[in-house]
Amino acid sequence: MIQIFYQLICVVIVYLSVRNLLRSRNLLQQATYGLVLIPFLLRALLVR
Amino acid sequence: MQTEKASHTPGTVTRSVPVQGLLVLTITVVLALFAARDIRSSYEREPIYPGVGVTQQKMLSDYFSGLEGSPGDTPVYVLEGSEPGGTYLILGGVHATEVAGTLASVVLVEQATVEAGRLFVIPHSNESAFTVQPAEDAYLPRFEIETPWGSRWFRLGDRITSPVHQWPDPEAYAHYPSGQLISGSEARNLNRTFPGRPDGTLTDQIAYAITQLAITEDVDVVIDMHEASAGYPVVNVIVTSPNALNIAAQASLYSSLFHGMQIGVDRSPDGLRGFSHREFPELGDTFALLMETPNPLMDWTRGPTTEALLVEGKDPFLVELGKRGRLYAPFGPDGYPIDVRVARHLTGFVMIADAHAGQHPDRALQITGIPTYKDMLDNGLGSYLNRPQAE
Repeated sequence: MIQIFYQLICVVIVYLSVRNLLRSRNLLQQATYGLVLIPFLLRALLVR
Repeated sequence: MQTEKASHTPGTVTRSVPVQGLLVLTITVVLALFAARDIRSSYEREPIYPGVGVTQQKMLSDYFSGLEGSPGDTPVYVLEGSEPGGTYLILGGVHATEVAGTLASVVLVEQATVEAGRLFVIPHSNESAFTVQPAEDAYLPRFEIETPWGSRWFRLGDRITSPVHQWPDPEAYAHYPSGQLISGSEARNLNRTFPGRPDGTLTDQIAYAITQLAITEDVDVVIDMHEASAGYPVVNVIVTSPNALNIAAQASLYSSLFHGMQIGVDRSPDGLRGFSHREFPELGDTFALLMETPNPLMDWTRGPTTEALLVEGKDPFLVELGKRGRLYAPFGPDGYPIDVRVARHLTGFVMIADAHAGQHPDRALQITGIPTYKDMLDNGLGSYLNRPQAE
């Protein structure tokens, strides 16, 4: 149950990061959102 | 922040394409793909070439099917003698940073032959921990051991289960079945989760599978091979369950008398639960002992994290600390090369087996082919690693 709760939080963080990254015009902000995304992308790519 | 702009046609509004944002997003995904490929390489198991003494190869999931296909499943090598005797279980790689235990286990698998009794060897007890490195220390994922014919590679992992496989950590970890509360990250520490449980986390399940092996195979002695920093009080020592104090003391004496290898004895504390040396005796008559060798890579005050530090074990900062009496293991300019650390584990094991055989002759383990302390130091670890057979 707690895993599902945390996965939902992850989905929200990824959604907000991607949305804000695409909306932002500031390169520093975009890079920051990109950095936020990397651990989530890594986990999605590595889980087997 | 402006995402819309007026078009040239009066009365209509069009959304501009965020080219820069898409570019940054693409770079992010590419970086993640490269990083994932890098981490994936740690999922590849180093080859082990079993010697003639290995009579059977199993998987840990044979003892608990819940592990099958999981990142916690790992090979178990069985060396069975033609004569009856005692049953031993060797655990290497309970902590994947402590490589001397894994390498000593590999030497047993590749060189040892059991005459009487049975020996079970698990070189990578926490397989998941070998797929990740502690981020804060810039650990190298692999290292090489030179041999007379070339080199063999091995993985260096993290102390605890990969967060990719077990996440998130609780605020506090409640040990099963005692309910003892310890730091949350210890939920991924295999040597805090024994005896484990089938419906717990991945680490709990690995511990449960190893416990099931000990029960199913009627294991007499469990030997857990670890490493520690020279600045940690529990180093160059055999930590033993109270029921094996005599065996450990005798093994310590034999090591000193016959091999000039000084190793102390420490009793497992009753109040700390989850350790192999604390929990296996709860099964009944099982003796459980844990050995620690100094691994300079695990110290806090030392030079850069390099393959040489891990394998050659020399460090000028530790020499200086040793001179000032700040270490718990003597540390000279020669340091603690991997040959010495593996020799300490193997010699400790043989001396424990001798001491146990003296006290319980009907449950003795008779084993040959293990290099002596002097042989290992003279010839080097690489001389006791098998060459890959031609395909």
